[in-house]
Amino acid sequence: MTTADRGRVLPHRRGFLGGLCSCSLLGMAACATTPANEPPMTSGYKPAASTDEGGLWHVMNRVEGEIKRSRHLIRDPAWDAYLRDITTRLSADFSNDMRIYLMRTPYFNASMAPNGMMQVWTGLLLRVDNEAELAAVLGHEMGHYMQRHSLAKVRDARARADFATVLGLGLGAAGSLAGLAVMAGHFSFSREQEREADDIGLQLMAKAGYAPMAASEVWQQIMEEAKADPSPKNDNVMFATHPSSEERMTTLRAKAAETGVQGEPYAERYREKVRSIRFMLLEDELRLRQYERSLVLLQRLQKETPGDGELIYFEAEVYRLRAGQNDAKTAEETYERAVLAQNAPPQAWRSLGLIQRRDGRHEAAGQSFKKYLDLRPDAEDRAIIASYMEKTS
Amino acid sequence: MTRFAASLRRLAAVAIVLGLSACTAYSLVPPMANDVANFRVEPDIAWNKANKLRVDSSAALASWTADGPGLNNVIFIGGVKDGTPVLTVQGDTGGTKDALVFRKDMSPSEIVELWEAAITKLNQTSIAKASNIQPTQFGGMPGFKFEFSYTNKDEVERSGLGYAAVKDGRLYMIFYSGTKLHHYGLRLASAQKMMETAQIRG
Repeated sequence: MTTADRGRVLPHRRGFLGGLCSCSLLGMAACATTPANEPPMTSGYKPAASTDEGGLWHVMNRVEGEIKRSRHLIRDPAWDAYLRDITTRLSADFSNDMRIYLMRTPYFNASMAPNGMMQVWTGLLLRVDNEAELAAVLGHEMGHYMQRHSLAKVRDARARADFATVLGLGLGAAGSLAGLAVMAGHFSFSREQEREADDIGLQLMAKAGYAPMAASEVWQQIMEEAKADPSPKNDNVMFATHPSSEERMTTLRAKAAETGVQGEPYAERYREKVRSIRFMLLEDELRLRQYERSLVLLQRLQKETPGDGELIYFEAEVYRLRAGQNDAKTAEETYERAVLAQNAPPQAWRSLGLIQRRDGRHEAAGQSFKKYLDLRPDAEDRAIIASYMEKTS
Repeated sequence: MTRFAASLRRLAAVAIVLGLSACTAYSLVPPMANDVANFRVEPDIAWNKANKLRVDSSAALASWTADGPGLNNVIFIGGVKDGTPVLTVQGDTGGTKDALVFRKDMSPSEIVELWEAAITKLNQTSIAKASNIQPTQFGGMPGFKFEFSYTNKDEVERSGLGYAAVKDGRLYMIFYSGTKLHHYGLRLASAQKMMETAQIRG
């Protein structure tokens, strides 16, 4: 693992949804074990450099330096301010101890490193419906930080490494702090830690006036997507590592009700915020070619904003790219709906033309391509589209 | 964090995907007429051919580098069959098989989309973009060329140039890519000349 990989790996694997337990790494650790509790964090806290916690922060500070230089980092002051506002609203005391990095990575995740470095992946932004749901994820991650769960994990991993050394298992460089930090990153938080972070997140949300029910809704949406995914690995990840997802969702719903706080979802202002980068996020999503997941996502987004031409276009794109039985027909019908809707991108005409061209309807294709080029005279694919038109005329 | 854990496993298997190879032996390819992966090419500089690849395809494959696999590469994909993936990572269960399927009725635009998806999936990056698709002759028949760029997990920005054509329902492609800062430009002229004069032998 390169340093750069380590930088991207360690915090991620302890993300909102946890990670695949790499129990085989040590060949001995049980994922469900509970590391001993550490005293909760106090705001403004910085560990002494001579302590193991100080060493851990030092390692993570180096990782953070790499994150700051990453080309995947979205450098947008408006987004930084927005995310900062949410964490400040959740906890003004701890917000200043955290740095939030929005990473262009089209999967659902957020993560918190022990030194207060939080990463939010762009796939998450597409998959939450409102600000309260985003706050639920951020609040959960803040809960891990406030309870110093990472430190507990590292100390737990070290105890296991020491134990392994005694048994002569030979973990080599893993005995170093950096090695331990990497190793610990391969373990999910324990269920107890996840529950604790859930509880803290819920409390922070309720206190900040967010709708606490949003926390369980996030889980529900993610589970719906995972259930739609036919790939074999799906069984190994979502349900193997989170057998209690449904229970967790139910628990969150019950606990949200217990708070007695109705709160606000702040859906419209969240949608407004995301709209500025949504096309890029959906392009990234499409490139993953995880058709069934994307369809669940796009159909859900359309329920929130019916008649949105951009969303209808991307749904049609999924059918066109999947190219299964009847997909061409469904794609064409969906593009036709898209171009009649508001804010359909010009690319809808281009893709409609591709479908018609594939079907041998050259005249219709030519008209669609012409419409595309009329709407987008500076299209970077003008030359190849014009070549299709020459062949069809 | 569902996909990421699976991605990590795949990442370990993929290594330098556009090099299609890692930690493998190389053979010298002299600057003379060569038959490689169903193409006949005539490079004007010496290249190094990877003896072992970590990807599969229904097409004949080859990977060359002039200065090192992470620095610049030429990839030959000679004849992908209709209904099969352009590339799959050996041992991958992460969906490349289903997602990267070539169909003979694809337009150049769709083939380029496919390549974009291949780079994204195989390199585990979200920063991959193809552009400037142009019709051109390739391999002795009408084809197309395009540019692309991507940033891997190693955070190094890379540029690329690809040529492709569909002959008898099979996809033939050659790509050149390298680090944007230096090694892409270093061999671009030689690579481009070789791609422009390549002949399809399949």
